[in-house]
Amino acid sequence: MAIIGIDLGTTNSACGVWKPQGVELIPNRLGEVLTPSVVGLDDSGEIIVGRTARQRLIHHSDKTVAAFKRLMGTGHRVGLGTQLFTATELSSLVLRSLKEDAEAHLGEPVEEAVISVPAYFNDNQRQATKQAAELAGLTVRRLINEPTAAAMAYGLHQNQEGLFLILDLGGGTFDVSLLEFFEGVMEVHASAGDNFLGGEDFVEAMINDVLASRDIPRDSLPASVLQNLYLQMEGAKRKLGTPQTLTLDLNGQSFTHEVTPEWFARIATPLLLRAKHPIERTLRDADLHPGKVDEVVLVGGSTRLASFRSMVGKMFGRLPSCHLDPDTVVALGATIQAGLLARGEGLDDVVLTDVCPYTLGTGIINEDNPSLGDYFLPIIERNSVVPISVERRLSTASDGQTRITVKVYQGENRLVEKNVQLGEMEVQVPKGARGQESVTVRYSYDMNGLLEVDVTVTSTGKTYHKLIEHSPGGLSEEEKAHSRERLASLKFHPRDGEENRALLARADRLFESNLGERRERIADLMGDFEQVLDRQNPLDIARAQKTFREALDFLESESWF
Amino acid sequence: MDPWRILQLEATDDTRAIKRAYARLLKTTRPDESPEAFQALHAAYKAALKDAETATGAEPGGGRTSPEPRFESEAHERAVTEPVPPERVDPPPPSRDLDHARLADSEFERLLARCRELLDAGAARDAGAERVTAWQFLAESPWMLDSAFQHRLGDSLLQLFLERQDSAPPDEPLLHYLNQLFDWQGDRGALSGRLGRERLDLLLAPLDSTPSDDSDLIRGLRGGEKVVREVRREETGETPSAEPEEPYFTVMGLRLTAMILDWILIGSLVAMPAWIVVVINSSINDTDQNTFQWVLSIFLGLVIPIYLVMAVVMEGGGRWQATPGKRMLGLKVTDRNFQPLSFGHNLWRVVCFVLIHSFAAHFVVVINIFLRGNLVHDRISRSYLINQARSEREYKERQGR
Repeated sequence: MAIIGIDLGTTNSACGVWKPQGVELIPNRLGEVLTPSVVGLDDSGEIIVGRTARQRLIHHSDKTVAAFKRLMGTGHRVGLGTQLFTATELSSLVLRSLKEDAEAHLGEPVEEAVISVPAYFNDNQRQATKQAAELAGLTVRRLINEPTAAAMAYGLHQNQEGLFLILDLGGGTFDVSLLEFFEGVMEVHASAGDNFLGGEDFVEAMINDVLASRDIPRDSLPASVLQNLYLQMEGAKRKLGTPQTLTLDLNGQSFTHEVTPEWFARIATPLLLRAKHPIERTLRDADLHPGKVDEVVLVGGSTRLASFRSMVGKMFGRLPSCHLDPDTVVALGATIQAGLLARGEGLDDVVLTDVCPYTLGTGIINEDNPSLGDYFLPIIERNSVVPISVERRLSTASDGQTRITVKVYQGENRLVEKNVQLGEMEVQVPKGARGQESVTVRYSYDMNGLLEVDVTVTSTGKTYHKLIEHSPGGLSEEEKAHSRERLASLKFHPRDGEENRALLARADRLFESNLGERRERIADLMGDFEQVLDRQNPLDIARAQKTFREALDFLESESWF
Repeated sequence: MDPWRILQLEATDDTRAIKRAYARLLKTTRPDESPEAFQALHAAYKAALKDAETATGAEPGGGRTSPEPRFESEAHERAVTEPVPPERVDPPPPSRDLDHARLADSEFERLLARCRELLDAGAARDAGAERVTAWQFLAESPWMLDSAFQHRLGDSLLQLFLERQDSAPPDEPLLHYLNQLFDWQGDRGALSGRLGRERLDLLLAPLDSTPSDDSDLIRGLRGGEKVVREVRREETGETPSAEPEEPYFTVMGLRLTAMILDWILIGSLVAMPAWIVVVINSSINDTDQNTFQWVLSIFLGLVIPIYLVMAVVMEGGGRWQATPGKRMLGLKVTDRNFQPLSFGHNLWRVVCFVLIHSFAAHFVVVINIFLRGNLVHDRISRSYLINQARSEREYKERQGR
């Protein structure tokens, strides 16, 4: 039985199957390879997926939805007609449609799949993707990172060894991965990304600008007018090379709008500049100079934007490559991975090693300053090669403590409050003096990017095991409001003298952009400084400020990017 | 453990050989099949590569295939060149000839002059949304995507702001927009070395404190009727009253009790004085004749209407979501999502209640007995009467377990 490879995209999805002669992309019921990731209800209340649904976006926008991949792993629900759907459910409908097409094409049932996800998808989002597949009746053999999939397609297609930098600008997400291909090994060195930057953002920004320049509030437009505007702007974005004059019909008034390169540059430049950050971070994490990259590969439909290409060209001083169709290359790669898993005929053995793009850790009591919340203790550093399993020992913080709550966080900030909580586990420990009892926390991160946590109580040897299951939605509104409130309430404390706050913010930034030893050093420095601040002795503070600043200066002068 | 032993290789500085050995072993030590052995192999591989590089020293030849180039020297060079923007040529622009430089210079001067003009005109001080729009011309320049140009302009603009800091500090939205363009925040280390840390920190302070944007999620979603964020159930048990997971309906007996409590309350507050007045008056005219009828008419004419008005007012918009009697017993009226009813919805609920009971009272009461607390008028008006007290109690018990 075949394993299919699926690219479940924000805008379009595609799937393929490995045949001895190579990848075969599976056409959908309309004979097209790309199936728009749009789901809707038709007039009789039945689900429709794909191009048909997309065409209904304009006139039946209350019953049709697109670009829901963004909501994966959150608790948001979308109403279609009278029913509510989560993004997971909507994705499962797209997957089911792909599965049916594959079954019709292959003439046999399909039950297993490799599905691609953005490299920078977090654990919640990966879990949601997996659940969506289960809902669609598919077993996920592997979740593969989209840039990695693209690299597989390129690596095998060109059979070229070297360092690839993959830039994957899709409909809703931007991923950067640095990979090396040698001797049948595909090694991912580092990944970074932005889960909220993609082609849809450009269209969104265009619309916002058009509406703002004419003083039309967005809410005043009926859904169909707005959807029509989306369509017009999408079309305009595709044809940027030629001068266009659009006739916009807004609220019964007719406007003409000139799409000029200057206008689009104004819209796009801030977004393009945002895309630079993950690229720089990837290179920094891999300790690599841009000149060392052998090939810059563009993936994803939005990399067709000329301005994106020229920006990349300028950054690396060479033209990026895009020999393979950026819309289907991820599906190709996912299919190759599926072929590898099935030990497909005619496929040279390739071993893939990947990294986890986020730092994973737990919270530890912040004795220096409890009001800031717990400190984040990194357990698995970002861009560690996976599968990986790391242990840290933690001990009780107060006398007579009988329970330890191990909270699992993901993120780069020194304070857990600013990171994403993935789950928590409570373990019982025998009563004892402070620090006497301890637990060993083991994080295991697998090839699919899913995390398992084991906690062993040292004295009793009892082990608690948990596959992190999530409360949907990450941080709730209350939690966000809560943390914001708490930050605001700190304003009157002496630590919030402008100067000290700026210093701490700077240290925080450094902490986020560094790894390992340097990170620990920064954390130590910050801890010391906060302690001095708490003593509220102006003389001490002034002295500590000086040493702290010098230490940060030194650290920063070392960083080179 | 000795990395060379794991790699089954003689110590060498040939990175190519190390990679080949690693690749060969990886075929039998697959990350998905034997994770621990793989981690050991990978660590050995990295260590061997590092060794090889230290051994080759400053020899630059192995750079192309080496995944871990030596950085320190390079980093140093960059750090030195960075603070001198006009001379900086990395990364090389498409054509490095004189024309190119001249074009860049003239564009730079043009944009900077316009910035200066804006600042002098006091655009940064004006209130209103045009603040950001006034600066959008910066993003229109195709040169902005050229790193060297962007850095240079960013520096100069920052200097302009610093010169005018006392008179015209840029406000937050503008600062955010400009930071998006020039990434002053990310570049702060290098910048503050050149421009003075204190002044820079003061200027950029608003960027530190602002929380990140939450609207990211919903932005870009197209179609669909509405986006509902699922109410997250509190799992920590710290505030169990917030959202009991399985609310209980209110059984008939409790409902009747609540209703009678309300009647007594209304009766004692409003109807009783009226009744006394009437009785005193009537006792003069015709004595004990029709006391029962009097009570009944006052009950129907005063108590019931007041009760219904109270229900309309208090169960809908009110904070209790209940009449006083229901409140005393810990009951709460909600819609089917356990949210408070709107005024109109609640009015409909009361109307349902009245209509049903005035047309088929006996029949309905009999049916209601079998409906386990979700009564006919609740069902018709699509609302619930929740036993909040019991729900919370049981929820706490579950939490405690």
